[in-house]
Amino acid sequence: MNKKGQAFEMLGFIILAVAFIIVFTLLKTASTKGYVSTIKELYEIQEGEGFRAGINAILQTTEKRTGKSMIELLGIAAQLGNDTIYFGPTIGNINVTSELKKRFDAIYGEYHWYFKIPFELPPQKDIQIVVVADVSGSMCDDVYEFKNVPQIIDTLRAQGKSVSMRLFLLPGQLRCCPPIGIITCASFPSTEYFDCVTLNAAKCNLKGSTDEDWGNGLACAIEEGPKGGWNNYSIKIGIPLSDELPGSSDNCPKSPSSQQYQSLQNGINAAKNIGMYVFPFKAVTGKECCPSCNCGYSPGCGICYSGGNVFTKEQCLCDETLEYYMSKIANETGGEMIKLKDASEIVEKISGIVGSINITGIPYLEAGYPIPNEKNIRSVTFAIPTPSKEFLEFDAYQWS
Amino acid sequence: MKGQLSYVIKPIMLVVTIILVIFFTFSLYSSTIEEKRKEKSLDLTAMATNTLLILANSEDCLAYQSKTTQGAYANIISIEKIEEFSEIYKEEEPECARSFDFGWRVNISEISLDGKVAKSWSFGAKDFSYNKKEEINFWMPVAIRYDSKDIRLGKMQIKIVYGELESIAGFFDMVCKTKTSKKTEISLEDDVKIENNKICINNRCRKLYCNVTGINEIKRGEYILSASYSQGKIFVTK
Repeated sequence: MNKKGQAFEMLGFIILAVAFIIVFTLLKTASTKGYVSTIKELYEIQEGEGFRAGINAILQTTEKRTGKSMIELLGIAAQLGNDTIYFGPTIGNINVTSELKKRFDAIYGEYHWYFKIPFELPPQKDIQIVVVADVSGSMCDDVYEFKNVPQIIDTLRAQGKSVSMRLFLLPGQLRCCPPIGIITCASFPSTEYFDCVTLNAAKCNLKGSTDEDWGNGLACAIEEGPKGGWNNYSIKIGIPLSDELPGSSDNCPKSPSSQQYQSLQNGINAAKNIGMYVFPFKAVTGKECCPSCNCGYSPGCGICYSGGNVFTKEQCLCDETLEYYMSKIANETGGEMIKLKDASEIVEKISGIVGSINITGIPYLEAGYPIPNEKNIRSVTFAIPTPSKEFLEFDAYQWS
Repeated sequence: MKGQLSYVIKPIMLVVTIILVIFFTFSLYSSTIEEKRKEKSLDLTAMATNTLLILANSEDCLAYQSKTTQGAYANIISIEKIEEFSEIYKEEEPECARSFDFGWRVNISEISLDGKVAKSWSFGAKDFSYNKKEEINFWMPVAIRYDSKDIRLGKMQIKIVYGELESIAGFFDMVCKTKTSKKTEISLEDDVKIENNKICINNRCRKLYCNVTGINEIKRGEYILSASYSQGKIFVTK
């Protein structure tokens, strides 16, 4: 073998050796990678199981005041479509999101978790309306307008609003100009979603001119309730309809000690207790056509009273106080005072109120912190039962 | 000249070949050792999770058992059982979740809603090997049940250790519990002292389920140990 041949022989051997080392290194790397990946997967499975068990433990813990487990509270909140649950005057409100947040923060620490649960598809929310109508003589045209309301209720229902109404007439005899005559509950058609009831003065503890006492009347109507009773989850609307202060407009008092004010306050308290929005309808008082309120028996003001057109100075003078009363009850209950220019506006205004109610709540309950992109995220899904025996998916995420 | 070159190159090639063979062998060996180490580490992680899950979900361990349905509730542990375990198993693992390969100790804390530890309990092995081969700490949330309307938040933490003391004690405990005869190959880095049902390495001791007879010391080294159960005791020979 010459020198060149020996060099090639050596080079060949070196190439072979290098090739061996490369192949061996590659095989070993691949094997190690595969093994490490298997270990990682198994480790993640173990961690996932631990996380699932942990979330289950958190959901099983009880809330101190109610003694109910978090899983139970979540189910109730999801069904109500509200994360705040009212448990009566002794316990009060329980905020489920806040309770869960405390527990997740205590276990996983801040900025390391997130959860979400969709609310149960809300059943179509009922809108229950009670109207308390002043039946003093000047209210004739306004009350008579309610003959058109059953039809508009049906129209609104056809448009997807689950609305019903009960008209409460304060006790009294509403004598109207011809051809209407006397108005009683029998003057109105009764349908599945509209009916009329006359309040009893003694039972309702009405004061002053009982046919005008719409403050105590509202409280009594709330107690009587709509046809079929109050639905716990409905949107409740109260509409006092009047052109006078509750119980009479004598002296237009604003003092809290006055009988009128106390009647108003009773109405406010009752409405607030039940979560009712009050939209008082202020009927025309005569001030609109006679700003000085000194128009005698002016037929031009067109207020029908006991069979004739009569201007009543007393209610004209109390126009501003009436606005004050009606604004107060509206403001305190989240409603709005509606100033009627004419009785014919009643139907339109009722449609407007019902149309403006948004019954879509928040679609889900969530809490926690934004899920980071770069982290290894553990996740778990639980089925949460609701009181209506539905199951909703509760998704929880956690990262280091 | 030609002969001289061949005379130099051939021994070089021989040396290179030997070096390559040694490299391959060593690589294979170290790779196997590394894989075994990782396997043990994974075993330990799995063991930690499993032990916590058994403790929290087994009626024989801490799981709350309904008196009416006789069923256990997932991850709800009973305050009575926690107190009982922390009293009875101060120095050893409870049998319901004993591992014959590892040693562990559990610490349970009741966590208040502001994240502070309100109360704590612990049970399991009192001591661990001085020279630990592997150690893992793992935790899991639990619900601590005082009564049906009072279930509080808690954390269950486990320290799980693999070492010579745990390994040899596990072998003796397994023979004792299964009431059989077994053999095992052990490699000891330190001397082992045995006195009745107590086994110690480097002054770290564990309590055994049975008394050991036939041997009271095993010097460091490699052995095949034989153990057989008889009348509540185990007889050990090297």
